[in-house]
Amino acid sequence: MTETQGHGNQEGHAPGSKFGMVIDLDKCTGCGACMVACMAENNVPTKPDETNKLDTITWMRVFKLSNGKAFPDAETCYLPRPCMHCGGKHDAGHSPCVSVCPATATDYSYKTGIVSQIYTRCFGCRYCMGACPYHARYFNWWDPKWPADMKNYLSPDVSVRMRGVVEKCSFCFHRYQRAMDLAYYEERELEENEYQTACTQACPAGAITFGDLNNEDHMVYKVTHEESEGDEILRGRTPFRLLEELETNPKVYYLSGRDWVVKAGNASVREEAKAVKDTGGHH
Amino acid sequence: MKLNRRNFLLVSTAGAAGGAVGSMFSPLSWKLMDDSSVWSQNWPWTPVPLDGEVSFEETTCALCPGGCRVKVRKVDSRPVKLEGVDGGPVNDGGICILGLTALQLVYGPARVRTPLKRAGKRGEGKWVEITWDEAISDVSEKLAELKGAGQSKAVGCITNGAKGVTSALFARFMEAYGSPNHYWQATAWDSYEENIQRTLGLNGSAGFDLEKADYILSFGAGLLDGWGSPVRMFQAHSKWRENHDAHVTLVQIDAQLSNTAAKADKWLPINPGTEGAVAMAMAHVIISKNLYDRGYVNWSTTGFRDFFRTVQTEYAPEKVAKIACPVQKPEYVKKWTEELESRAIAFAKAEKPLALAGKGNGDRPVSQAELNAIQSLNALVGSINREEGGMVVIPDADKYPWPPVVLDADAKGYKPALVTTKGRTKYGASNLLSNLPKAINAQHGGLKALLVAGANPLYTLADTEETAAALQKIEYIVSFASQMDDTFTYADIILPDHIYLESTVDVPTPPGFAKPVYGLAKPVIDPVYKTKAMGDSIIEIAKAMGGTIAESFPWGGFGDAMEQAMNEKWNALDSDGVYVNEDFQPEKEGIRFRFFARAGMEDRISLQGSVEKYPLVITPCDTIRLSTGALADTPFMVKTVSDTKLKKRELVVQVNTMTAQQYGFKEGSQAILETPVAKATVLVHCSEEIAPGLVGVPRGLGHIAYDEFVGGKGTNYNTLISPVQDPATGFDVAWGIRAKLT
Ligand code: SF4
Ligand code: SF4
Ligand code: SF4
Repeated sequence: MTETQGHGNQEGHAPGSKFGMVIDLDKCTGCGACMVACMAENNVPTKPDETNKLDTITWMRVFKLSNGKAFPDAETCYLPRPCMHCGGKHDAGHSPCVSVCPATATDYSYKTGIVSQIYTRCFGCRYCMGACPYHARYFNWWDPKWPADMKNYLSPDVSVRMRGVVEKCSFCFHRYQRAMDLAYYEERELEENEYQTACTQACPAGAITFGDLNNEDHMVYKVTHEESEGDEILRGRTPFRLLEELETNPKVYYLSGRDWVVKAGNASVREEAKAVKDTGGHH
Repeated sequence: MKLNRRNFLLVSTAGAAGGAVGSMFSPLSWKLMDDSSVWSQNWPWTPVPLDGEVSFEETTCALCPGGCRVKVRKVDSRPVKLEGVDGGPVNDGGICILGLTALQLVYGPARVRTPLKRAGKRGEGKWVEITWDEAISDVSEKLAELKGAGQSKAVGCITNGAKGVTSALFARFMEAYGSPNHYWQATAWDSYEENIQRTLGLNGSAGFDLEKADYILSFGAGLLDGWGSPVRMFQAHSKWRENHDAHVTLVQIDAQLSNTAAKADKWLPINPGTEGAVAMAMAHVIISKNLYDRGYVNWSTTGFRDFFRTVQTEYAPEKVAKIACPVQKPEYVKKWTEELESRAIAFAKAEKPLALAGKGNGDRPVSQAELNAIQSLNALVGSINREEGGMVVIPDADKYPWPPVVLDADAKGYKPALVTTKGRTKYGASNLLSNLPKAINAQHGGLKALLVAGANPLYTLADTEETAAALQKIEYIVSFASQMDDTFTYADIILPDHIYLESTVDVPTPPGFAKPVYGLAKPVIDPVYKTKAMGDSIIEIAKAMGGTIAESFPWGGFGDAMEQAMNEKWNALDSDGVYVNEDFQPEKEGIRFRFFARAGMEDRISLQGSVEKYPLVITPCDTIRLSTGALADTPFMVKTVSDTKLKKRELVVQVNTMTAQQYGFKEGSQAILETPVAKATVLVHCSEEIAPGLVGVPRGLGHIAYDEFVGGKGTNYNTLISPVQDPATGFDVAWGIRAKLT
């Protein structure tokens, strides 16, 4: 496993947080709660037909992997995929998407490690979508609609997007803001449980762990540092990230006790996406 | 900080309290933002959600029997999201995909917003809005007229199960009114109740101490596909995976690689419908190898000798393999048989083994023969009433301490129910809703009026055509639906229910939970539209009818009836929303398990259709992302449905790649799926997750009503099949139907 490098020293920033996730694929049941929790939290709309999985907006998407074997030796595994909040090479903040955006509509925060998306600046060129190896970005081909009174449940914490802009998972950044405001007000540090993403909170299987990868006290740190006491969760498994070889430095780690799953995760996601498509695409 | 709309909103919401609202609407801010942004896209109107003070209110989710404690996040009085409550006795912080999206049921286009009366022809979808007073008097007058004409037995009522105060009020109404025709649709849990009566002589429901079991044999139970209390099951599964001291093994015996099978330690594929026979084969192994719990079998069971004899002569694994093994190649059959044997041995040797039944999400009944066989395994290894990790019987709750129903002469008179039973059931004919459509269609003027309370029979009953014909024969259908569901389209008058967030609802012990727990939902938001709790509606109807019927409903309203019903539990429920009986001890003294010798093969439920004409077998696929009950999916849930189940408006069926090739289909081919009762156009998905010769049909699609998000998508599984009665109970235990693909 690559030693995670504090990005705090980059570009003169004070040492900051680096929020990330560890997803236990052995626990994930593919129930989809994380997907809808995200939609409800982040004012993601839905269309009458969402069966064309190329134009359906799901910041958190649960893929189904298959070991490619014939009945009855087939095995499948679900893989939830938020934005990886890539740190880029040497974790210097050059995420694939950030590097290509001509409008600086997507930005890397050295304070949190979160890759933001600023809708008002995005003019829809979609370069970032091409650059993102994880297909984590979505384009608004249509204006969002909330028929009947559905707009009444929209959250004021997240702005509603319009046609022509790209959107993606923000690690529920507004939750960070709220939690920080409170901590600041009460003059104390942010606690691990105070800032949790909506998917983490919703997952009924407890498959997602979220926290600061730079904070020794946080579970995500423990799990991703071999010398630490993350064994409880690891149980002999090694955390892996998708497409490590691209040096995108994703902040989302996965755990699986199954070799073929680990292998699939390390294979090219494009190949993987193809394999997934061959077995029927999005699940 | 650069000014942009996103940062701007965050600034304005910081610190929560109201003050910022003004600035959000200040045109100046918007102007500034405009200037500082580079725009090329259109920016038409998009909603700007109102900000305000954030608060959380807790209640109990009542969308399924799961009993999860949930909280609603509100911005001022406006609910914006649902979340799980940490420490909830069933769900400890978890929530499911349906529970999360409850606000779409509140605000969505399918919501019924006011009482309605049919204006045009049935099915035309023309309604006029009426007031609540008009609605209550319309229903009470019609029912009084029928009763006056000596037709009280021609009024039927369908509720969502028998448990809970609302259902009890409807049952009470039917009793006071004088009709025996109150029905609900049986599930696997009704089958368990029947089996508990037959094998243990007790009145109660099945509870499983899954969190403590260490070797689980699941006979097709979709433990992670909605079975039992879904969130509890996800959490139990995670606990199994976390257990370091003793590895918990889950063996899934299933016709397909369901989500549960995919998460299991071992998937043993079988031909659908052979679950009972496979359980008997495992019993054969356990008995032959002398691995059964002699203490339990000798002291706490009866009928072992006969069982032993049948098992030894009829159910050798090699023999069962002939019907149950899905691939009849000698090497594979051998491997399969060895696997069956080794799993049976490991099960018997485990410390806390447990065998489970209930196909898919458990909303379909299981035959008694199959349950007898599976429960025999629990008896053989002493899992029944075991201190930890076993199966317990949760005794039926006492009758609510309500004053006795007041009956007039008409109501006192004996009238047979429209549905008659061949078998014996605990609830008479009441949970044989699956037989009602046939009974109505067979008789002239079987039912003249029908109250549909929390049920959606047109969708959930097998053989939709038969059900539709039956509904068409009923003059007057009253629906209490909160959503424009399938049955709604046949209704004459709608008295729309609240969503639980607006209402008081009790949630009895969730299916499969190992100790008695009671939950209460209390209103956490004001009713958004002109709706009324079903319990209040029926009380008002009763009162409007006067006489003994009104006398039978002495309460001021539903709340009073609820409080009286909950009795000693009320204080705990009222303050905490939940009541847990921590001291619960199952009844053990003198309880003996009765082995039934005749289980398995000879009673194997056979499907409709001939092999020659219909060479394939349809088997349903359940997933938690598709609701199959009275409540349909929410729009967000539909969004998560795989494109291997639904493509545009077409149902996608799962067919083994070899079978597809054999019939000349490729991935995505269009085909006609035909069964003895119906035909549908489908798309073919070639899959390795299902055995050759089967057609996997997702359940939960094909609603004919609702809105553009939920309705008109795919085909309803139930339209393709027809009921097959369990000879023991009369429940519909069809696990599929024969079919062909052309
Ligand atoms: S909510 Fe949890 S278990 Fe369900 S799909 Fe998402 S990660 Fe998996
Ligand atoms: S996952 Fe894609 S969108 Fe997210 S930071 Fe990486 S490259 Fe950018
Ligand atoms: S499992 Fe049932 S009770 Fe729990 S949140 Fe989901 S619908 Fe509600």
